[in-house]
Amino acid sequence: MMESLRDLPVPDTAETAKNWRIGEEISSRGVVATILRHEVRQLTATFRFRASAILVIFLMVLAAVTSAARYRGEVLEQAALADDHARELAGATVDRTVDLLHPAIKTPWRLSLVVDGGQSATPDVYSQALSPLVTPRLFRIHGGNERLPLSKPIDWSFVIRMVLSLTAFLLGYDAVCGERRAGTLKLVLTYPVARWKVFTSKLLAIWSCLAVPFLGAAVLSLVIARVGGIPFQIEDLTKAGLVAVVGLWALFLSALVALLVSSLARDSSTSLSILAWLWVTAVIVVPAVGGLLAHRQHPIPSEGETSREMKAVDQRIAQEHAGREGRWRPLKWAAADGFAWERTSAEAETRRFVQKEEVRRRILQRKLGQARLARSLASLSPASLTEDLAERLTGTGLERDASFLQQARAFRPTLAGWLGALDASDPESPHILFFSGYVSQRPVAPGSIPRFVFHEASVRQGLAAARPMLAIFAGETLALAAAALFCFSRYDAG
Amino acid sequence: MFFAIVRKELSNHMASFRFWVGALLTIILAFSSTLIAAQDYDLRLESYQQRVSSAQRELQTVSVYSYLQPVAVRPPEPLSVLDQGFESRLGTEVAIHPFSIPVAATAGYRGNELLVSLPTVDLTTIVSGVLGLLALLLTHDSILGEREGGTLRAVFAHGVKRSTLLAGKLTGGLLTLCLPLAVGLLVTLSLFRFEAGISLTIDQWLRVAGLVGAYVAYLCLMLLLGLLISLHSRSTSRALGLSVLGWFVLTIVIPGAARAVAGDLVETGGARRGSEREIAGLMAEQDRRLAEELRRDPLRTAFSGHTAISFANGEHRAVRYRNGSAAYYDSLADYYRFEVKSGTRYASQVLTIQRRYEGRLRAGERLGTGLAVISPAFLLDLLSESFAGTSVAEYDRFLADCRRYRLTLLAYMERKGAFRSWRWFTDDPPGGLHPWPGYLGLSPGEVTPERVGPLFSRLSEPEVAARVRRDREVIQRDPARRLPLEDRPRFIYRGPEFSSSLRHGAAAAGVLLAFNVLAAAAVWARFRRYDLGEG
Repeated sequence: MMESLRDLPVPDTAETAKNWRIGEEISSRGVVATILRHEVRQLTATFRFRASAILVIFLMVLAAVTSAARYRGEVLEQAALADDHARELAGATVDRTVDLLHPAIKTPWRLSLVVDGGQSATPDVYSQALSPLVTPRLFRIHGGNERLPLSKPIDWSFVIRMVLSLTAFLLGYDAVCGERRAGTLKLVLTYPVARWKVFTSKLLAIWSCLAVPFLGAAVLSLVIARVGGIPFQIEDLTKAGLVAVVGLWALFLSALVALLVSSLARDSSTSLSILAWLWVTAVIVVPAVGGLLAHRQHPIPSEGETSREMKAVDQRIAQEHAGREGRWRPLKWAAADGFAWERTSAEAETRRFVQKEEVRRRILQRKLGQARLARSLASLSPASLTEDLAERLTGTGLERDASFLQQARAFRPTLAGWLGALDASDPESPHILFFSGYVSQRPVAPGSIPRFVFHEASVRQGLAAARPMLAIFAGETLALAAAALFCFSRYDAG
Repeated sequence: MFFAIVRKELSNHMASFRFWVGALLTIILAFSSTLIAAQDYDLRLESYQQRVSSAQRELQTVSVYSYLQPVAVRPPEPLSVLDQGFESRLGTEVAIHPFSIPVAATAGYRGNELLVSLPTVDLTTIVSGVLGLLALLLTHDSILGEREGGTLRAVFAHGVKRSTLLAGKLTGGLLTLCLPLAVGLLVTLSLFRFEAGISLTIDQWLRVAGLVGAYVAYLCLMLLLGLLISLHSRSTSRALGLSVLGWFVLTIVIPGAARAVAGDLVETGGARRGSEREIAGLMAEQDRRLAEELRRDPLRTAFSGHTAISFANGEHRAVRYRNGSAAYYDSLADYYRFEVKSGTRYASQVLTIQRRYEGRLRAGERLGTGLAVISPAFLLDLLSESFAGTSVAEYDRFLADCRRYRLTLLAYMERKGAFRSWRWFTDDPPGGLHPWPGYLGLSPGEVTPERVGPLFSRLSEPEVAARVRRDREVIQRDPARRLPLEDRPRFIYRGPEFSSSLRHGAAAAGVLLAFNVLAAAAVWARFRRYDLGEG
């Protein structure tokens, strides 16, 4: 860049010459286009541009290949789990069904290529039985190779947050101070050209140099992922398009930062040093400190605290029922007194389940709260804000996990209603819901069982969720643009 | 002259803006990450202590050998505060019993599963990320800048040898980096001491020293890479650009891409499902054989006056019978001898299947390591995990200890005749049996098949039921029923030692040192012929 504009041709069109003579400003479109063309030519001839473009394309292709492989693996895992459940249900009676764990499965995230949002690591199954004696389980079917270090998958969001921002810095760090050192900036500014036009041309040059490989790689990665087996739907492509727009916007923001720092620094080395540390702060330090502060400010209960709460529930139930709980007799003996003991025991167990479920729900809320706080604190960095924005627009991340848990819990009443109706239609059943041995022995038709279907957030919901972040991002962009323009207009080119 | 160069480098670096930013970030991150790591360690320690004491309490109530299933618990590693590694990801406890050979641990405090998408930070991350970048920023213009400024020629005019200048620059840079490193380490260790109240043992101090050695070797390599870039670049800004890009690729892109390739492209889900299916098949076969064996004697299957009416079962085929007859117990002893014998045989077969799956995981691990080995940050990660005792190898060592302990426990049980005697499944004393017909004034032989039902129903009569309950309470409190287990072998897991850490990290250390030697040779080869007037 420092050698750029050295050989900028003097505007030689008749119109320009005329304007030049009468001291008017050169036609803005012509100047912007000329400088832009020149800057782009200069930038694309550098090693750093080629290295950056190759890196962006390589990482996005890698993201497509790995996310497609992950998607196929997850589909197989979930299908195997669903098959196991179907096998358990085949020929099962109402009585057997109450003890079975019914898995609510979070479908594999099709846009993992675009923004994973932790979906390849967070729990994807919530298994619950209707019997209050069976504890629900929240788990991940298969978390990958546990012998490998944990790392976030590579996706577009990674490229936008880390690669595009750094490469924008690498392309723009000497856009102003480098030219000043080489003396070419002074030359350019001797022309009757408004400074904002020079600034805009430089900005657009950096932006377009990275936007083209990014968009090209984005389309290529979508094609590879589709061929790799991810069945994208129209809505997915819309969401991916929105994330690409966010990526271009974030790239614009990074280019603004680079120009701002370049306008403030005395030399290229200082400029890049400042930008490198800014990048480390935005990409590593702020999100990490955000996570650490969330741990500190919003701790989740320890195992000891949880187990003490669970014991307290047991003690409460024991006191309330004064030892009359937990008495179960064979049917023929129990029928003699109308299942009096069993009804008391069932009531106690149901209350125990409800109270323990409340403890579990509270813990999960604490975890969600902690994760939300960490995310909010991390969003102080524009890099994390971009990721948050992409997650909200596509409907992934923490909100997808929260939505899954909510939907999975809401599935229990549906199951209970269905099985309760089956039991009610059997006059021979003692109707002690839902305790194995004391409900109907009739078989259930496997096809009649309600299936859990996970509903993804729509584009409209995503846009609504992202609105506050979009406002913040727009505010940051405007402030940066104003600051960068101000610094450039006051810059001493000599 | 060497010391003069070192002093000059040190003072120049310390006067620079980039040094202070790097140092400040290092200290901020070290402080905040230690606070959380110490809190995390406390939680894991609490969880460990609770688990150990609850396992101890459970063992004190064991009255039959089938319930003798000691739990081996892996204590939390204090040095995880420096490098978290796999510490909170892998399980911490293993139940030891004859029917399974440990290949994986379960449970353990794993924190918030919804926070996995946020990066975890520890001292190793700080060194590889922040100080690694600082090393490149300090040396990228070390030679080039002096040449551009004309001072390099002046230095050589004073008769300074090239090797002295190079060594001085390297040492000066290293000493500069050691300052924030030392402060970061000091902050981490003192905060950990204050927060968690743990004092380190000599062996742990040795491992900390090893860790510091790894950090220094890594920083030295990054300085050498910076020098190399400085020697090969035509301008400082170009050198700086190359340094930043190189750091990004070596520290973030290569490890991330290698993990992505090894994790997502080496398919392990199918292997796991396959092994689970095979194991399920084996278990079904075992259950079928056990059911056949059980049916061989009608005394065991048909309810009679001999049958034990009190039965409890626990995990891993633990059973306890009470109120049965001698004939019934003799028959059960035959069955459980068969169960233990076939169970240990099936355990070996299951282990073979699990090993095959583990082999698949190890193949992914090897591929990931192979792809990322050119990244100094990855090598530092491997090495520091070894010294911190948070590596997968350390987890494997714990499991190996569990397997050895299982064999010792089985030998102990064999010596005690656990598998041959009634004591495997009942704590009823052979001389004081109380079969259930006794509550009705009958002997087991007097209960004919057609009378079993009515007679058994009489046990719920208030007077009889009260007697049964009273007897149960007496048995429950009777200390003579407990197994004398004072002489049982104890599980001893000595955390990682310096020598074993060194062994585990030897390969990574070797490669890191080799890279240092190669980089030093390349720097020297270039600098020897470096034209002072170039450019």
